[in-house]
Order: sequence, then structure tokens, then C-alpha cells
Amino acid sequence: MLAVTALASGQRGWSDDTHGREATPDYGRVFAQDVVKRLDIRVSAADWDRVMADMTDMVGPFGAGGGGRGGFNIIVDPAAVEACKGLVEGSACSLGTPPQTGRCVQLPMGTGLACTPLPGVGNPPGRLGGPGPVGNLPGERDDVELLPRTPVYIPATVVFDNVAFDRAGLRLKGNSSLSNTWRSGVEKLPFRLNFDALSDRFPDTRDQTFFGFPNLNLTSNSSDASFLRAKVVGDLFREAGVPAARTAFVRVYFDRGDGSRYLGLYTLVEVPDRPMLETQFGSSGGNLYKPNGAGARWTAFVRDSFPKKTNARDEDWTDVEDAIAVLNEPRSRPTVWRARLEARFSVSVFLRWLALNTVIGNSDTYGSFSPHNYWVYGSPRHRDRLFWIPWDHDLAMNAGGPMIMIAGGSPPTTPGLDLFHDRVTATWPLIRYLLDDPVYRAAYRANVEELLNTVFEPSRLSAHLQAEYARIAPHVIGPDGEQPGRTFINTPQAFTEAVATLIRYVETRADAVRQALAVAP
Amino acid sequence: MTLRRVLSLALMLGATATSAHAQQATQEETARQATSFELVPRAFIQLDWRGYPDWTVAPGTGRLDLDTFQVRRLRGGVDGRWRRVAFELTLDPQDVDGTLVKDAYAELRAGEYRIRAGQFKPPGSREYSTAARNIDLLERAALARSLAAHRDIGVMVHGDLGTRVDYDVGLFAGDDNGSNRRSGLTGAGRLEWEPGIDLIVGVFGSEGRVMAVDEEPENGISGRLPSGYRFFEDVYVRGTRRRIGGDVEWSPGRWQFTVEALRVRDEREGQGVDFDDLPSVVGVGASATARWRFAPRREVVARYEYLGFDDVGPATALAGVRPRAADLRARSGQTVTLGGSWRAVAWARLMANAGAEWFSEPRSAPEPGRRGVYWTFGTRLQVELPAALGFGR
Repeated sequence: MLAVTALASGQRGWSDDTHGREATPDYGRVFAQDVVKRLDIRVSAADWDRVMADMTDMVGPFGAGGGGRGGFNIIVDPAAVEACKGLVEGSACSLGTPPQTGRCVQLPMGTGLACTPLPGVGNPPGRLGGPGPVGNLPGERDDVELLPRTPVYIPATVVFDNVAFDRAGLRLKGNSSLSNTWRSGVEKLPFRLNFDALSDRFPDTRDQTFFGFPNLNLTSNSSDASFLRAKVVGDLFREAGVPAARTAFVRVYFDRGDGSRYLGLYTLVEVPDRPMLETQFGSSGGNLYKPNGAGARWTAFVRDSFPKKTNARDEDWTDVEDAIAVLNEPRSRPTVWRARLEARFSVSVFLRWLALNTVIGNSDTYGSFSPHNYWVYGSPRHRDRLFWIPWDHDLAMNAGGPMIMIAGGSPPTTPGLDLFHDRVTATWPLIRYLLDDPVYRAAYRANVEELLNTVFEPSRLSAHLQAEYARIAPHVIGPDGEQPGRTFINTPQAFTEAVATLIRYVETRADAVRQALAVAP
Repeated sequence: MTLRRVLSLALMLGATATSAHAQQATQEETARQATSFELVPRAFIQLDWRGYPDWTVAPGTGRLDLDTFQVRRLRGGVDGRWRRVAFELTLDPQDVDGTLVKDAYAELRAGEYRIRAGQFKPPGSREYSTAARNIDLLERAALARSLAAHRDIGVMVHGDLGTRVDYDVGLFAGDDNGSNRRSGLTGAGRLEWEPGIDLIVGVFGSEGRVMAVDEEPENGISGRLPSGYRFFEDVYVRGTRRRIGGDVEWSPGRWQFTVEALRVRDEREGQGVDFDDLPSVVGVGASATARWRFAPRREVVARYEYLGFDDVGPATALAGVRPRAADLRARSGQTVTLGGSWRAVAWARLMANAGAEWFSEPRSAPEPGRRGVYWTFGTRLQVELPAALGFGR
């Protein structure tokens, strides 16, 4: 059909090939691997003031302190633990004076429950209860779970490769990375770009994409002084055959009405969306979920724990409901159980992910820190089978995982390598039940052995890390590097040492995994 | 489509018309020599404006644009005859489904029989058989778009049984060439009875095999109302596809009343997640149309229609919309459309429609959860180009 609307829209530089909904996703251009491209964002001063006011209302003043780097070191208030005594995960709880409403959430590594205040549930603004365990809220706000509401979208002009995208929706995103950065007063904030988010206000941006991509994340790497984890770990998963988002480094220049300035080196992350689903699954028509909360453990189906990212209008969760039911069926006839499970859930991809995730050492996800940081897609081209999609790897490659301290309690302990997840309980049934099955355990072991010699082969991976380091270093340190107030790097040495530590980690981790394999039954 | 492309197509049609002019001269000359060869160019363009005043449609759920102008159809081709063989070739570069070749067939007239071969509309729905330039409203009834067998490659025989009964029967390679939902080898037939001078009663049916392929898109029927909004997504089907339908047309004086109903059943052998057989999916459509020609070349039309889908299995708590759902969630839509048409001159037709649609399942409505009526307005300028340029019929 001939649609004259777009021609008449008057948008500068609009082209169906670069801005249209049907534009072929240009992976080569947007996720270029051999160069670090520049991305310019321009917003008006008035709009930026709205962002500041909105966040101040939710989190408190910018730079008020108490933030620091995001990451693993979590101090749990003993009162929060006490508030959940005798309760079960997900129960309502009350904490502090004046009392704040909260919910009991599992502490990392299953070490108990703690009451996490829920912002916006009768709690005063700007008091989020400090860096406690992540309290996953049900709903659609998967990337801003710690905030009482989704931050405001403001119109932004985005320029990339000399192509402008007007009135794109820009907002802040992130959990600890956002709140900690905000409190610490570092201007390098994480962003979400949604290119037609403001189409109600600007109808000519309806269905606008960025070279075929409707949404993109700009991750600030606030928790990773090497900058490499989010990028490289995603690469490793895809190399291993696990569906994962594409990533690329970009230099972000930001103009909020007072001139353009270098905001820092970001990781551009593809949001699981139509382009990714069509590229990696052959169709985007299936159900895409971003699970979180208690139900995301897969012990029982909880609708609120599976917010739908596609087909939300259909209100149809039957695929995941069915898969969870089969997973938790009696396994007295293992052959039947396996066949039924594999018909609904891609066990092979999950075991592949679990093996590489364990070898890498990523605890900020299912089976460890919290039932989050993954997506699930029911692929129509694979008989509606559900596929595991890992997400958010900036805390990966850390042998210790999250360190949990009860304030005033004993010093933190780092759990050792649990290669076959023998310490994982049935509260994580996808791991426990699968690895209790001899067939799946053998498949998992085979995956670990193979990955050690391929994707996670230390010399190869070290070379990959070195190459990425060489590519990004000029944009992190030195005269063209990040600037004070807009960086999380205190000194150039902090960056180079972080990369060196990461490379050492790869070598020692591979050794540790080999040793664990040798002694495992 | 860019403006440049529209212009180039217009030029192409102009060239067709010019050659038609030459052809017409040749034809007249030929006719003088022998009446065994005819070639008549045909082309028309439909320029539409559509408005959806109180609703927007999420991307991917239909082929609706915002209030916009569009070229709905741009058809060009030739009709011809050589000795006892008639033929037709019609192209549409603007087809909404991307099918360039619409009709391409030859028909042999052998005594009382006509044998047609090529690509053409199979015998079936009256509404679907009506030429696009002659339909009463901007869009055909939903049953024709969503349920009827569409053009495909095949062979058909047409004949009479006495003076009041006609038949068409054919064998086709499928039931919608170029479409995801296309079946395999399909037999189709239609029987028409004219008991009175103003009355025609028809029954029709078809049967073919459908074969889902896991790695390919869904291949079942889908449901769209005349607005273009798709409220029932196709599912994977395998087994027999069977259609059965009927229609009645009564044309007393300046009035014409038409009623049509069609039911399609697609089997779903082995389409469950455990490779089990699923209950067949059934689509049912019905329409009733009244047309009043109140003046020469001026008419008003009212149409009511229903389109619904469900599976034949029992209702369960796990009713869903997924392409392999064992229990498909029942969904239906209804439409009332009012329209007017004025053929200002022989080669130009102006049309205007107002349609009200509503849906049984609010979750599948254009704005999920919103019950009530969804309005669609539309106007059309239809120009038959060769005639407009002084050529052809």
C-alpha cells in the first residue's frame, strides 16, 4: 500500500530503510565489532530537568551519596532479616521507623529472606532502603525494578553514522546501576532508547526504528572497571549457540542543552525484540517473557512473574504454565518426563547455558543470586518450545559471586566452585531436577568439557579480551578517554588492572573447572 | 510505494492504453479480415482514503495504516479471444498480499462446455467471485477474504445442467497461490440454481490437504474484518481442509439482497507439542447485504457480517491463542457497513463507507480490553484507465 503519511511527516532524514518498522535490522552498522562508533544524543534543557525532577522524586537528590559502584557487595540490614522471620518468599512485610511496606525476598545464594521496601507502596520518595537485595516487582518494569515507577521518557535526537533520529524516546534504566550511579552523582547514567516511545505525542515517530531496531540499551558498565564483561560474555554465549543479545561498544556524546560532551564509553545492547527474535529464532510471533520474582524460579506458575514482552494483549501464558507443570511432574518415569519436558522447553539450550554460565562464573542470575536476568521465548518455528535467553552480564566472570554480609554479623564468605550445583536446592528446579537426571547430568558435563576447550579456552579468550581492551582503551583512558564526573574509573591504572585481573581470572577459572571436573562423580 | 513508483506505474498503464489504442486499430482491422481474434486492454486504479477515528492498531496485528491515502488496487492486463479460446492476463503491482499475477488463464469453449486452465479464482464464494471493480463496498465481506478459496493454478470445467442449473468443478494446485495458508491439491466446485428470474441459489465446497512445516510460518486460516484488522491469528494445521458454503441472491427491481455463509474446517494432525492430534479449527462466516439502486449508476448498500473461529474440542481452562494451542480461544467479530456508490461517468466511480466493528473477545480487539464499537471510514475514487483515456470498454 502506498502510505503518503511518512512522506508528509516532515521528519528530517526519515527513510524507510533506516527509520521504518520494516527496515532490515542493520547489525553490521549498529553492532559493528571492529570499531567503536560515536553516538550523539541531544535533549533540551527543559526535558532534562524533567528527568532530574522525576528521579529526585523517586530516589532522592542527584549525588546525595550512599551509592558508589554497583555490584556485588551487599550489606543486609539485620532488621530486614528479622522482619521476614517465619514468613515465606513473597510475603508482605514491614520495616523501619516509620514503617515501610515491603516484601520478603530470597537473599543471594539462598541464605534466607530479607524484607525489601517497595518504593511507591506507601513509602516516602527518595528512601529506597539502601543497597539491599533486589526486590523484584511484578509487572512490566523489568529494568527498573528498584524504582516505584518507570522513569519518564523525553524526546531526544539521536545521531549515528550521520543519520538523525528525531524525537526518539530516551529514559533512564537499570536497577543498582542506576540508583547507585544516581546517588554517587556520576553523570554517566544508563539509558534506554525506544524510538517510537513518544508516538502519542509525536505521531510521525510511530513505528520509528533505529536502523531496524525499535529498542536499545546503553549500559554504563558502572560495576565493571574493565568494561568488558557485558560485551564479551554476550559474545561467548552466542558463540556457544545460546541465543543472546548483540552488543557493541559506543562512544556516547550527550548534549542536554548546554553543548555536546563526551559522556563515556557505553555498551550498546540489543533488547530482545523483533529483530533479535527473527534473526535467532526465525519468527517474532511467539511469547517473549522477562521473568522475575518468586515465580521465576519455576517451582510453580505465577503469572505476575512472567511479564509478557510480546503478545501481551493476548493474555496467554499457557506455554510457560504447561512447561512449569511438566518440569515439576513426578520423575518416576524419566524417559517420559524428559520427552514431555523437551517438547515444551529447550533443555539442550538450557544445559548449554548453564554449563557456560557456570564455567564463566556468573551468579547474578537464575540458580544463584536472584531469579532474574533471563528471558524466555516460545518459538513458533520450534513447535512453541521455550528457549532460555541470558541477559545482563556485567557482573559475570566473578568466582565469588555476590558477597552477602548481615550487618554486624560474621565476615563474608565466598562459596567455592560448585560445578554440578550440588548445593542448589529444589527451589531452583530447572537446575536441581535436570542435574539430578543422569542423562541431563551427562549432557551438562559434556557441555562443560567441550566449552573449556572451545569457547572458554583460556588463551583464545584472553586474546579476545586483549583485542577488545586495545579497541576501547583510547576511549576510556588518556586524552580522549572518560572525564572526571562522568566516569567510574578513578585512575587509568584501575582500568588496566581490571582488565589484567579479568584475564588472570579466565586462566585460574579454567583450571578450577578442570580440577572440579576431575574429582566430580 | 514512492511517488516515483506510482508515476512510473501510471506511465506503464498509459503505455498499455496507447498500445491498446494501436491494438484497437489492429483489432478493428483484424475484425474486418476475420472475427477470430480479439484483444482488449483493461486497467483500473482504486485510490482510497481510510480513517480509523477512535483507535490505533498495534504494529503487526493488521495491515492498517493511520488515516492515510493509499492505492488499494492497480490492475492492468488484457482480455482476449482467439478462435474458440478466450484468455485473460491481469497484474496488480499494488496487491496487498504481494501477488503480482492475479489472473492468467485460457478458456476453451467446446460446445456446451468451457474448460479453463491457468491461474484464476476457483469456483466457490459468490462474494469472492465478484470482480474487485464491481464490489458493493470498499472491501469484500470478511468471509471472502478470510475463509474462501483464493486464486490458484488449476483446471476447471463449466457447464449447464438443463436451463436452470450451472456447475463449475475444478482441480487446483492449492487454494491461495503465494500465501502461507495455501493447501495442497484441492478440488472445488459450485452448483447454481436459478428457480426464478430474480433468484439465484448457490452451494459450493472444496477439499484439499494442508501440511504444516515446523520451520515455516503458520499455515492455517486467519480472521480479518473489513477494516483489515486481524483478530484471529493463523495456527499450524495439517490434514484435510474442507469448505462448505451457500448463497442466495434475490434481485427484485432496483433492489438486490444477498446472503452468504461459509464454513471452513482445518484438521490439526500431530500439531500438539507432544506431536498429538489437536482438535480441528473451524472458521464460520456469514453476511447479508441489501443494495438499492435508487438512480442510474447510484446505489446505497448495507451489509451485516459475522466471522468466528474456534476449535471443535471442549472448552478448557487453558484456552489460548498460540499457534499450537490445544484449546483455541474462541474469537469472533461482527461488522455493519453502510456505503454509497456513484458512477459519475462510465469510467469513474466514487464510493464512501462507514463501518462499525465489534469483537466477542476484548483481548483480541484492536485496543485490548476495550469493548464496544470500532469505527472505520473510507472513500474511494476508482478510475478505469483505458476508458478514461478513450480506449477499451
